[in-house]
Amino acid sequence: MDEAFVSAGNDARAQARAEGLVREYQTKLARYLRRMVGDADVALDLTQEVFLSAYRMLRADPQRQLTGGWLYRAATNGAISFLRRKKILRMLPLERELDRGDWRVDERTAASVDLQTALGRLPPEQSAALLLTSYAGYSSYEAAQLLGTTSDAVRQRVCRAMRALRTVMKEGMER
Amino acid sequence: MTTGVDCTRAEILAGTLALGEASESDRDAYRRHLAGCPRCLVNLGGEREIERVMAVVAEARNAERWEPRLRAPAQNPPAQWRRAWSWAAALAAVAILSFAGQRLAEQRHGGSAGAGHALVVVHNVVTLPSARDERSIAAIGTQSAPKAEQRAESLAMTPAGSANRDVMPIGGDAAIVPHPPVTAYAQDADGTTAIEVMVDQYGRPLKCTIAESSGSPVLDESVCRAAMRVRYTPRRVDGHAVMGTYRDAFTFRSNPGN
Ligand SMILES: [Zn+2]
Repeated sequence: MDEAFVSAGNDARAQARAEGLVREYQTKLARYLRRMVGDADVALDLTQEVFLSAYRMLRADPQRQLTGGWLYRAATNGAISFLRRKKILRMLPLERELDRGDWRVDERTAASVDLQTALGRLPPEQSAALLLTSYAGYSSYEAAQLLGTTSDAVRQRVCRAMRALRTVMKEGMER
Repeated sequence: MTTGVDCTRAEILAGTLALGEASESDRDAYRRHLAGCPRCLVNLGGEREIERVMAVVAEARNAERWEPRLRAPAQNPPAQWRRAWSWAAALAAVAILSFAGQRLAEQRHGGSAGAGHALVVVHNVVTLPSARDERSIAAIGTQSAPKAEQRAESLAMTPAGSANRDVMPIGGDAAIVPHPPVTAYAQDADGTTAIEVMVDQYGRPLKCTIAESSGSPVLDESVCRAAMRVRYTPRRVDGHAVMGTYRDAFTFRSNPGN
């Protein structure tokens, strides 16, 4: 048995499947991550990392089923560890300001800016709960599976996220 | 108590309503709780209010136009080649560093000041986590969070020394924080990236050039990206702000320890 040959075949298959995942999910994941971290460059790096892990997983086991949920979970973990790392590195309170330079003019609507401001004030677990459901379209049960928690915990986090968003909206009115 | 549900339950119900997952009895329970709990009425809001807030989320989502294009994930050279390459890069980096050290010494002793571009001053050392760390992050599901923290701690940067540059980042050298993607860890990338950033009179970075490559395009790119993201204090000549140059170098080391 020629191992090198088999592994080359696996690599090609893994690459083809990974490319399929990239085509289908790159925009969704990058947008989700940009909301999570508030920065387009970082979101791109993190998206790239997710697909790289997927590719590596597929190379090791070409039969492996990789769903959108797997990608979102990897993306969430990546974003959370980035935000924690950022916190440690800078030794500043966690803040995710909206860098407006990264956002197109038509994306800088009041709703978009309010949402991003609110997300920047939330613990990442709450941001993820809101975004996985109302952005990515998962039910609270599915989001709970991705986040390793219960449906009720997801719903409660969504409620907390909504409270933050309401506060931001109110501040916007007062300005 | 007549309300039936406590305030924690009310939060969960509010989330259920927000996600459009509420049954009629959920709605009843929520209404009854709000009727007896002014605090939740203010904090969480009624059903209309929940709808209004969630409409903002939907509106923001619908406004998204960003469609980035990623590189395909597997444009990496084969494993052995990569390893050899990173060794070569490490050796090259050592050579560059010792050369830079000499040049710096020369200049300190009144040597030629004009020969600017080969002079790099290393003051940042970035320790990359090992490939094993990175794999555990990829192994989704269980324990990625503690590993990530370990990774954070191992990403140490130590500023030191001076440089021949006429502008500085606002917030100092530490303001430039490269975030190399995991690709770099997977390739066991090592080496030093030296950059030159052209900065305009307003302190905005105009252009980042790789003065010396680490041998890893991914590492080089992460440094320039980070350098282009910060603001600089403009150079001043006779009280006037003018264009200037920032020079800096980052040494990346794979962390074989863990
Ligand atoms: Zn209450």
